[in-house]
Amino acid sequence: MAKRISRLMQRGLRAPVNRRRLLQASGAAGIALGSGLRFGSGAGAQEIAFSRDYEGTTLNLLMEDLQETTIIEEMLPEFTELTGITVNFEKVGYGVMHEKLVPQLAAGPGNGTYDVLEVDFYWVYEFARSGWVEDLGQRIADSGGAIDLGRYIPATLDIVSQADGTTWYVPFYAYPMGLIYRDDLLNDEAFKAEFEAASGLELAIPDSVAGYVELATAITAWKGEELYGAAMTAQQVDPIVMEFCNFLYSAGGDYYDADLTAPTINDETGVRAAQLYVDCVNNAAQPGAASANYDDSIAVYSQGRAFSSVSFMWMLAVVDGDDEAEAQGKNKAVVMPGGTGLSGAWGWGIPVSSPNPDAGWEFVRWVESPDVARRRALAGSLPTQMAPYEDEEILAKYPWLPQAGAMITEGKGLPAVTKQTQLVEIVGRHLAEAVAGGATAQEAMDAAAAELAELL
Amino acid sequence: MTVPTIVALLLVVAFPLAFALYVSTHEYDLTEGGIGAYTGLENYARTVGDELFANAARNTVVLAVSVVALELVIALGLSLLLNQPGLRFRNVYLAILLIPLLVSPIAVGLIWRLLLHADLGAVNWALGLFGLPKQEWLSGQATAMPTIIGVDVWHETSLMIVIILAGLTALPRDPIEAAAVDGANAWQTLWTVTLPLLTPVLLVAVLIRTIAAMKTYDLIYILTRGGPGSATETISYSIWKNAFTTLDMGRSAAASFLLLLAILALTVVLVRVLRAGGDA
Repeated sequence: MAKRISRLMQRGLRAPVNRRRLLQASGAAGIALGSGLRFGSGAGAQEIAFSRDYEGTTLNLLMEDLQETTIIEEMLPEFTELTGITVNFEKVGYGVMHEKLVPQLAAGPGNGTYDVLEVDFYWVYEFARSGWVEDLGQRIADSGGAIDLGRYIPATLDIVSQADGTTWYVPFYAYPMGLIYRDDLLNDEAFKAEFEAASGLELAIPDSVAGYVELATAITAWKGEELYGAAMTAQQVDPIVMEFCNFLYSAGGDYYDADLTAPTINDETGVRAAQLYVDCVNNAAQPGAASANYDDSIAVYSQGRAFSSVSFMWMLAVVDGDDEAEAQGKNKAVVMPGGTGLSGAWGWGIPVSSPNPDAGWEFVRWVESPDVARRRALAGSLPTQMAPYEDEEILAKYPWLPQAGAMITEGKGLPAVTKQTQLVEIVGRHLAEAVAGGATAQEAMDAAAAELAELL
Repeated sequence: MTVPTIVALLLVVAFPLAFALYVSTHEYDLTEGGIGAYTGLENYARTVGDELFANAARNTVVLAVSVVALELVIALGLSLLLNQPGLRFRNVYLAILLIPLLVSPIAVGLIWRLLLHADLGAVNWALGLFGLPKQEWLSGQATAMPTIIGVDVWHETSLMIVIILAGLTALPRDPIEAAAVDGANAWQTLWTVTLPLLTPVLLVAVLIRTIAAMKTYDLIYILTRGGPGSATETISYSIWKNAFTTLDMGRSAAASFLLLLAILALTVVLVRVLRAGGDA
């Protein structure tokens, strides 16, 4: 099956994505009740039993307030019916999750508030190496087939599941980044001809970061406020780094060398990527891009005022799901020009501080069981398991799925340093300074490298 | 009554301070387990020697001095206008001026973030009506700090008005009326009678606002996250960042104590000035 998935994703590398009506999809999933669940298509039939030993337990989870959370939330009554366990989702914005989690995780065994963790890909090493989460190896082995890491896209295991040879988390959903663009404009012959006459460039999806920056800059120079080449999200600290990763990785650079012995962010490739990023923000993006968060860049793109955006796949869902968006239904997506975007993912973990770790694991078994995972994918969650990528019903509903899979397999996460959050803060601070003109790209990356060296 | 009060103070104030002091003299990185070895003043030395902390300290001073000075001048002017005898609609003006005081700092940050949005914000739209170019209010190296100062002044001037207006209302009328009888004009009365009488109130207002301004965190968090680069990073924001990004609680506690000491020193100076004024 893995080879077939790989073929599908290779197809995705070449073909663009259309993610229409994604938001309307939730609620379409069927409901399976009873004492056991049956695997969906592609996984073979296998009964999975769920325990009622924890009946009456209430689980508390801190969840990002996103579509994926809502999809699961709507399915929770069936979990409660199966197990007698009630699940309480505390839904918050991403920005406050880390600072809310850390004190709870450091509270000591059994003393925390949260029973199960939703772990972002750049907390993986910090949480694992701090001894805050359980090694899930034995639980997975004893899960009765409900959790089988062989079912997951291998790239997601690298990004959000395993660290230092141990499995700490179960991949939950993926959020790769790629290039989202206005397909209607790309195929508008009159628009293309006018652009080519004005800029001397061909209007086509570029195959390199430099080509993308050149194209986006030319569109902005041509259309001005009417149509920016890129809707960008360069707010300090997290957004600017997430966006920059696509420029860095696709230019062939990275934060450290392969052995994690020294920073490489200030080598020739890193500085070139930083300069391309700075140029793109300052010459191709909407005014205020340097302080723009995702709401800002999505607003600009939705209003039809940008040709493209290097962003998360979920941005397409937002734009295409917005009936008032000028850009609704006019978009496609491809892997970041140059070939390697940032691939983010969330995973499930059991904190050592969990008051109810066994009941929490029962929840993970249920939510990641093939049938539930399939129905989550059918409702619009971007899957980390492989089966949905060859499920005909899901593919018919979401024909962009191969492209999303390609973004996941071709993408990269962050380097395996313990304090990845600090890495993001360091790079974000120095890169923002370069964008604001307070430092050259070389100076900013040199300063970042000096601080990144201390994280090794 | 005394014993319960002392116990309550110990629990609420002394214990957290003592614990923070303890943490500040120990190694305490959250990723490395519990509180580690005693390190003496090492966390303080690292903090003071840190270029980023020095930059945050400079930014804090610039921010505090700027907002307090601007708020004092604006609030004094508005309070004098509001205190004019026979002013019509006085309460309406006062109610309007006090609205910002009722809004939480987070909401203030979000409101101004939208207003100052470089592409879609009302402020740049208004500039456009006069043919002026759009400004990068929050992301420009030169504009970010003045913008933060402006937003803080918009938000906090109301508090100064409340304090100063209360002081003006409570001033004895006799000296002012005597000055008028002696032929002093409005400016002479203001400079030689009203302001000297009002000085203790102004000092209290300055003290309260300076302490609050030195702890500014929320506006920075919402508007700039300390950026661009570290152009608007204040000590409070830096403390938060060290605690929840670097997870270095020892250094964060040390920085917190340094900020506390700075505020204490400032308070002592202002209180002494206040007392000296009272004795004179």
